[in-house]
Amino acid sequence: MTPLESLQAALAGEHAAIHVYGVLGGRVSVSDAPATAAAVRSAYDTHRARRDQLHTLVRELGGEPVAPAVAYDLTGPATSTEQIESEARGLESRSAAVYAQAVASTVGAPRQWAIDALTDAAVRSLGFAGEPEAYPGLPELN
Amino acid sequence: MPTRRTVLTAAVMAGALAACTAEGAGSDTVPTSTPDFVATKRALAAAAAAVELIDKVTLGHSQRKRALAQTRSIHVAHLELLTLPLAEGSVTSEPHLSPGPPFRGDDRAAYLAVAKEEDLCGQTLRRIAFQAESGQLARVFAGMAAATAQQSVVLRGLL
Repeated sequence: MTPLESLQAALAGEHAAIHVYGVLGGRVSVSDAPATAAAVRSAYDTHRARRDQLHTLVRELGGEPVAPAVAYDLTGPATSTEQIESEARGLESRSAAVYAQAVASTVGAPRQWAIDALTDAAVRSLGFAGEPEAYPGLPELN
Repeated sequence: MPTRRTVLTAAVMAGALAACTAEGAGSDTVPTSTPDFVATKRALAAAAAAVELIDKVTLGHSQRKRALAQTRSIHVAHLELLTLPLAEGSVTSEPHLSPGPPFRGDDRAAYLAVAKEEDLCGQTLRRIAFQAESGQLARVFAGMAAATAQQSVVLRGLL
């Protein structure tokens, strides 16, 4: 995978994350699950910031940033707090794998960006009742 | 006996290390003087230091040993993965470390010390992930760094 391809894949992932967190933010109860609501809000803001950073990185490599899809499917019903957390964990796990690929495919500033994003996704998943792993973002080693 | 996973991952690691030099490309042998080999040794040293500290703080403390079992097992897994390709297949599931004198301090001080060691280990891993010549090796180091960040958060939750 070329550096540009890996960053475009990461950008496509950010588009999906922003959409899904937007949906989750509309479903999570601020009064019943304030910690989860705050975590969803924080994740939404973070992925929006990453999307903007990736736009810049893609353009710096001479690419045209990939556009978001019309819609994205959730993997489950995501109505209870547990289901919302599960959806968020899955999202961060998939994001971590994409970031890890970007680490492998890039050098310099984009690689540093991907290393930071991978670490953040791994830590963020803990806020959604995730379990620590030996190799976040590297499913074949866990 | 090495598990199928450790054999598989050792092959990945050996390939990543060998691929970083033209000399090593296509060879089963691991070059020992490349920047990536040196980086791997630094990662090993960081993981070994983390295990050594955990062994110090848990010596004679069964409760701490339970609390830090996961952190220790993750570093042992990292050591195993990093050691396998360098040791030509000789596998040790536990590092041979001398923990030294026991840690002096209460539980809070113990967990905080281990959390700080996780931060230190993570900084090292992030740095060598950034510098690695092999992209695959960089990916592995970055994953390890992310694991230490998770452990740091979990340990600070014990304080």
